[in-house]
Formats: sequence, C-alpha cells, structure tokens
Amino acid sequence: MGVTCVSQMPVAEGKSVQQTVELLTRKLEMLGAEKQGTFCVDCETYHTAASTLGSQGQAGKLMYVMHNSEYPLSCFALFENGPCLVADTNFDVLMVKLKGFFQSAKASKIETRGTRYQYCDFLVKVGTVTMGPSARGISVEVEYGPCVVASDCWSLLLEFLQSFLGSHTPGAPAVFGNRHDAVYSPADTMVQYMELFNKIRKQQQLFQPPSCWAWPVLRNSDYPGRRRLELPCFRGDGRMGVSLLSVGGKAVCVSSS
Amino acid sequence: MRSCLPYGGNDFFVLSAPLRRRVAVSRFARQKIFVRSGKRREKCCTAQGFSSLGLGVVIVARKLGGARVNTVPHFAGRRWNALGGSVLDHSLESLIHRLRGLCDNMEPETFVDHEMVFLLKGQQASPFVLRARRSLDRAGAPWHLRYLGQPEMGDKNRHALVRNCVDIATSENLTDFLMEMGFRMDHEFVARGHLFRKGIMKIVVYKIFRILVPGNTDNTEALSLSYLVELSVVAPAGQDMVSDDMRNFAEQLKPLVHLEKIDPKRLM
Repeated sequence: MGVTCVSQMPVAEGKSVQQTVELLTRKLEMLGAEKQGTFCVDCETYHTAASTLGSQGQAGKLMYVMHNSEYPLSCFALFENGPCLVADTNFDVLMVKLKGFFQSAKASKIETRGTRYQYCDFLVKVGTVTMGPSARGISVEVEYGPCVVASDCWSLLLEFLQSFLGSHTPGAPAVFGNRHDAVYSPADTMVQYMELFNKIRKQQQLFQPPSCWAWPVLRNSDYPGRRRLELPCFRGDGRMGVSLLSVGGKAVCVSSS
Repeated sequence: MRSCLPYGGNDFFVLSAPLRRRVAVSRFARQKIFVRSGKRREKCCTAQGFSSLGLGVVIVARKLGGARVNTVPHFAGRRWNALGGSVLDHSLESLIHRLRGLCDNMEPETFVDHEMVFLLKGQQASPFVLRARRSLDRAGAPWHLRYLGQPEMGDKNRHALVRNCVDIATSENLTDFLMEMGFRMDHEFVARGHLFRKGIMKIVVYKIFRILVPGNTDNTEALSLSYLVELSVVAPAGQDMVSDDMRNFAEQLKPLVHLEKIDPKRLM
C-alpha cells in the first residue's frame, strides 16, 4: 500500500467510454505494463431516515459505505469532510440492522470496475464507472508502492501520470494537501474515490434531454428533397446519441451508430 | 433469500452474488463455488480465501475469467449465548485456580478494556445500542464494535441467555464516527480481569471500574467488592447444543460460583 492518486479521465471526443478505456490500456501496454487481474471499487449511499432527523435536530447527512477489492476483508464508511472508518465486512450486516435509522438512497450504488496493470513500482487501475446499467465515466488510479508519504513522491507520480495521461493529468488530490508528512493510508484512497463518484454523479445531471425533443436539420446535399430530424436519444450505455428520422415522401426511421 | 442450516460436517451458506443468482458455498476454504440457478448447478468461481470473523463466512471469489466478486452472506447471524454470576473479591483466587485447571492450557491472560455504550434514539420506543470496546493494555489492537439484539425468549428449556450478535473490528476513529452518525455516549466503564478459554467457550472474570472524569481512564474507582464471571459462546444460529455444553461446564464451577441465565429485564 503506497501513495495513490485517483483521477477521472474525460471521454475522448467522438469516442465511447469503452473505446477511451481501450486507448488508455493500449498506451499502458505499450509502456510495458503487465496486466494483473481486475479490480472493483463500489460505493453505496445512506442518508439519515426522517424519523431520526427530528430528534437529532441536524440536517440529514450522507454516509458512504465503500468496498475495495484491493482490501477484500475491509469495509470503508465515510462522511463527506468527516471521519473515514475502516471496519471489517460485518459492518454491512450492521447497516442492515440499522435500516430503520439509515436508508439507502435510491439507485445510489455506483462502482468502478476494470483492469489492474503493474509497471515496475507503479500499480495502475483503469476502470469504467457505472451507475446501474449505464457507464458514466472513467477512473484512473495510480499507486506508487514504495512510498507512504505523499509529499515525498508526488512529483514522481505526476511525471508518471503525464507519460500516459498527457494533458489530462490531474492536480494534487485534496487529501495530500491536508497532512503533508502523515503516512498515507487506504482510507485516503477511498476518500478520493468518494470525491470522484460524487463528481461523476453531478456530471450525470448535465446529460438531461433538452426540453424540445426534436429540431429539424436540413441537409439538402445528402438527401435532396427530404428533411432529416435529429432526435436526441439515450443508448443502453448512457451515451447521448442521435437517431435520424427521415421525413418527406415516405417516412423512414434510421438510427445512427 | 433461502438459508440452509448447517448439517453434517460442512456448513452451506446460501448467499447472493451481485449477479443475483443463488450461490451455494462450502464453508471450508479452497472449495469450488457453485452457482445454482433453478435446478442446474454450474461451476462459477473458486474461493480464494475466507474469514470466519463474526459472521460465518465471507468469501472473496474470482469469477472464472472475470472480475472479483465480493460476496457477503446476508442472513447468517451469530448468536451470543451467555451465563453469568459473580464472586466476592476474597474468593477470586480459588476461582482462578479452578478455572486454570478446567480450561485450555494457555498463559494466564489479563486484560484492561475501556468500554463505551452508545445510543441512537429514533422514533422507535427503544434506542439502538452499540458497544465500543478498546484495549488499554495492548497497543495497536483494533477497536471492537458490538451489537447485541434483544434476548430471545422462545425456548424456556434453553439454559443460556441468547441474543443476536454482530461483532465488527474497526479503526481507532470509531467514537468520532459514531458521533457523526448520530450516536451519543450513554455511559462508559473500565473492565479489568482475567480471560480463559475452553474450546469455543470464553470465560471472563472481571471487575468493573467507574470512570470519575469522562474520558480519563486513569482515574477510576471500583464499582463493587466483587468480580463478575461471564461464560459466553458466539456461535452460528441453529446450534442449540451449545447451551448444554455451557451448562455442563457451569456445573463444574459450583459451588465456587453459580452461573445462571440472567434475565436483563429483571435488572432494569
């Protein structure tokens, strides 16, 4: 367990999430990284039930319960800007017992799954972040094993990140800034994942369909005498796509790829 | 979610993997995990490790050719069976001597623990109680969080007090986390005493000390002139012969101490 940096890779222009992940993994393989199995990090959200709110007199807080396949017998429970508890997996059973007081937020489970690559002392994990059936983004985690003090190896990590992320290299994570010389722990990695998942959840709200469902686009060069309507639609993997409806003469419905 | 009670020598637990299929698992390590969908059984993954901390089995399994699947048994509860009694201070030595003879051969183990009891009040009549315990004499030991359910009143023939039990090992910031969750500390105390083991039975002889200044565990005062004796077993649900073994062991401690089923309602 060494210093870890978790960041988001934006989806490449005109490509899908899957294709961007493949691009990244190909870059890593060209660098010389070895594939070493798979990983999964998941997160469930709980909020204080209404019945306890009144007596406590405080705004409902969100509690995140996370698991990381790198630490299979542990469970991480954290509050945003609050403490992160590392417990064993019986904590999940306790949450079941506490369901009268803490309710799982609907459709809140978010997870990232992907491949692990080992490159010398670096462990790189590239994963697809999914919420339910749809892919929402790409997570990249890089761990530098030999060092446990963030301030000592951040510049090395940054250089390595630049070698395969290029312009998408992130800045120093907020957790590094808090304690300069403190020993890095897995809880800090989970805090980074929580921040990443929250950012991706908020981004999802940008993919709302416009209030006007269709707008006409006239492309006379392709189909003279016909109008094409481009309608926004959602794919199974959460991408926005365009479906073409050819109007004029005989109406034909065509979906673009 | 159907559960399978343990039978024969192997315990089979039915648990659900994220694939939403029923998975039958053999308790003992390195067994193949079979996915049972309807009547067909297909080999799906291989158990890579297991933990028997508290809740039966947690398996980390690797799906053949796929991602790791973390599976947690949903239903397999454990029960805390207990018998209790007490001895006056001057009888402690003879009790310790008898226990050393009856129990497993091991170095005499003493402990000093600080326990805090937290309550979460909701609209339900009874608050949710959690006990956080930490060791004062063993540096680096994890904190221990325990949930004990209501005593099961079903079987009058059962010789021991039985309560549902969930044990969790946690990191050191447990109290801060519980406060953040909304729990408030109800009371705390220090327990100092001796620990013995016989098979799966744990015998603890301890004295409770009241903490005079909240948070200061050095300044304590004994609550009474006696030691509490507690014989307990944490066993999976469905194993009823445990209380018989406990009663037989308790017989051997008479007349030094009378261990009996304690009805917590009588004490309230």
